[in-house]
Amino acid sequence: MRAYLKLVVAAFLFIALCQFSPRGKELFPLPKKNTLIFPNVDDTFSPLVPILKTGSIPKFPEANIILSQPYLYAPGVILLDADLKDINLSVANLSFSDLRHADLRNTNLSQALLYGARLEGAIFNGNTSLPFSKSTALSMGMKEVP
Amino acid sequence: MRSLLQELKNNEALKWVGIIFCLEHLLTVFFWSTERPLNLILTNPSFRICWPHWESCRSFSWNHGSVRALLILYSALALFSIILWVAKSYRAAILGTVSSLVLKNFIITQDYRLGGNYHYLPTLLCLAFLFLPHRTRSLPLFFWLIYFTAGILKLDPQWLSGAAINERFFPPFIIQVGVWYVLILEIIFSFFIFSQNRKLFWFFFLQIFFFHLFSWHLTRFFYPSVMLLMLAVLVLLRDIETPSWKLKDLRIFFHLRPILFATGVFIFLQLPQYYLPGKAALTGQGRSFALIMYDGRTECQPHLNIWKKNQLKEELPLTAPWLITRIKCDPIIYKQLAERVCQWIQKDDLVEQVDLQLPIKFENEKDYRSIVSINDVCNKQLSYSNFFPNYWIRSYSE
Repeated sequence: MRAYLKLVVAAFLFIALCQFSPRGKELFPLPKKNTLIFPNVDDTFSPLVPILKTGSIPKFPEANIILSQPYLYAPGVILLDADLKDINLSVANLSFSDLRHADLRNTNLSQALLYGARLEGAIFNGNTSLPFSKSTALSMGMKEVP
Repeated sequence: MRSLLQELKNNEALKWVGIIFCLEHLLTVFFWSTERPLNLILTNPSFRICWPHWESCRSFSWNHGSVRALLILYSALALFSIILWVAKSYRAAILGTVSSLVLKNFIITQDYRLGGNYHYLPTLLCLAFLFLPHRTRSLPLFFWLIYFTAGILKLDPQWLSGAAINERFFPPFIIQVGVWYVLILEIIFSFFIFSQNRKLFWFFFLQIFFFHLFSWHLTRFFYPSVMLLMLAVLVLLRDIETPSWKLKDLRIFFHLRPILFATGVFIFLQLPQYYLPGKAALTGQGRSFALIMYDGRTECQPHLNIWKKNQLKEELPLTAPWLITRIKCDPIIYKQLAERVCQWIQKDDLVEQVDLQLPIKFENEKDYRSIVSINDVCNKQLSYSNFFPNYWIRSYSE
C-alpha cells in the first residue's frame, strides 16, 4: 500500500508542477465550475454569430446585447420574468426556452422558433408579433394586455 | 452483511476498502458541484432526459434548494460512513455505505445525462464489496472482469484506428501503437491481477495507473481520479491476501453461486450492444446498462421538420445541454425532445405534422446516415427497449 501511496503523491505533485506551464495545464486541466450563466469568462459572444450555449441563463443588464439579435440562436435560454418588450427577435431560435412571465409587449417574434417553450404568464399585446395564433397564445397560458 | 462482518472480523484492513468507496462519493459530490453541476442539470424541466425505463422521471421536479439539500445529505452520509468505518462501528458503517450507494444511484436515475462509466464502475465494485463473499478474491475478479471487458469492447475498428481518441498531444503513430498496446494490456496483461508474482502484478498495475493518468486531458479530472482511487482497493486486497490461483482454487471459487451470478449479470448487461442490429456507437442501442468505451466519435444533426397547415416547413434543430460525448447523438434523447415538442404543438393550431430526423456519422466519415427517420412522430407511440431491437432505430447498414 505504501508503494501505491507514493505513486499517488508523485502523480499529484507532477500534476501540481504541470500547472506552472501552459502545456502542462492543458495536459492536466484542473477541475472547473461549469455554469450556463451568460456572460462569463468562458463565453465569447459575437453579434455576427449570435449563438448562446443551450440552456443559458442570461444575467441582465450585462446580457442585454443578446436581445438586439434578431437571429439569436439560444435554445433553452432562461428568460423567466425577462423584459423583452419592443425588441426584434423575429427569427430567433428560442425553442425549449423559459419565457414564463416575460414581458413580450411590442416584441417581434414573427418567425421565431418557440416550440417547446414555456410561456405561462408571458404578457403580449396587439403589437406583439407571434409565430402562432392568438388562441394558441392564450391556450399556452399567455396573457393579453392592452 | 453477515459475511462482510465476518470477513472484517478476520481482517480489519478490509475497512479501508469501505473507506475508499465512501471517499469516491465525496469525489462525486465535488464533481456534481463543479464540472457537472447537478443543480443546473436537474432544475431545467425543458431538458430533463429520463432513463428509458422510467420515462415519467419528470414528475419528480427539482429546484436549486432541493438539489442543494440532496447533495448535502449525500455528502453527509458518505462522511458519516467514513467516520463509522474509522471508529470500527462496522454494522452502521455498512448501512451508511449501502445508503450512500442507494442515494447516489437514485440521483443518477433522475436524468439519463447523469450516467457514465465513472459511476458505473465504482457502483459495480462497491456492490461486489458489500454483497459478494470472499472479498479478497471476488473484488480482484471484478477488477479483472472490468479491464478485460473494456479490452473486448475496444476490439472495434474505430478504436483500433485511433479515430475514437481526440488526442492532440502525441503524434498519430504513437496513438496508433498506444491503442493496440492498451488492448494487449487489458485483454492479456490484466490476468496479472491474479499473479502470485509481485513483479508481474506491478507490471500491469503501473501501466494501468499511468493509462488512467494519461486519460486526464481527454476525460478531465473525475474519471481518472475515480479509477486511481479504485485501484487502491486492488493493492489493499493484495496486501491482505496474495492470490493463490491454482486451478484447484479457481474451481472452488466458481462454485460460489453469488459470484457466478454477479459475473453472469455483468456479462449479460454487456451483450445487447453486440446482438442488437447496427453499430451500437451510432444507434446507441443496448448500452443503457453497459460499460461504454471510446468506440467512435460521432456527429449528428437531430432535427424536427415541422409542417404547417399553410404548406410551409420549419426545421427545428434539437439540442440539449450537458450531453457527454458518448450520448450526444443517442436516439433516446431526441425521441424525448420530440415528444416534448409534440405535447407543445397540441395547442398550436397551425401545425399539421412533425417528422423526426437523426442523421449521424462518425467524425472521420463524410456522409451522414439517417438512423432515425419518423414521419408524423406525434402520432406514433415509440417505446424503447435496452434488450430488444427498437423498430424506429435503423441499423447503420440499412
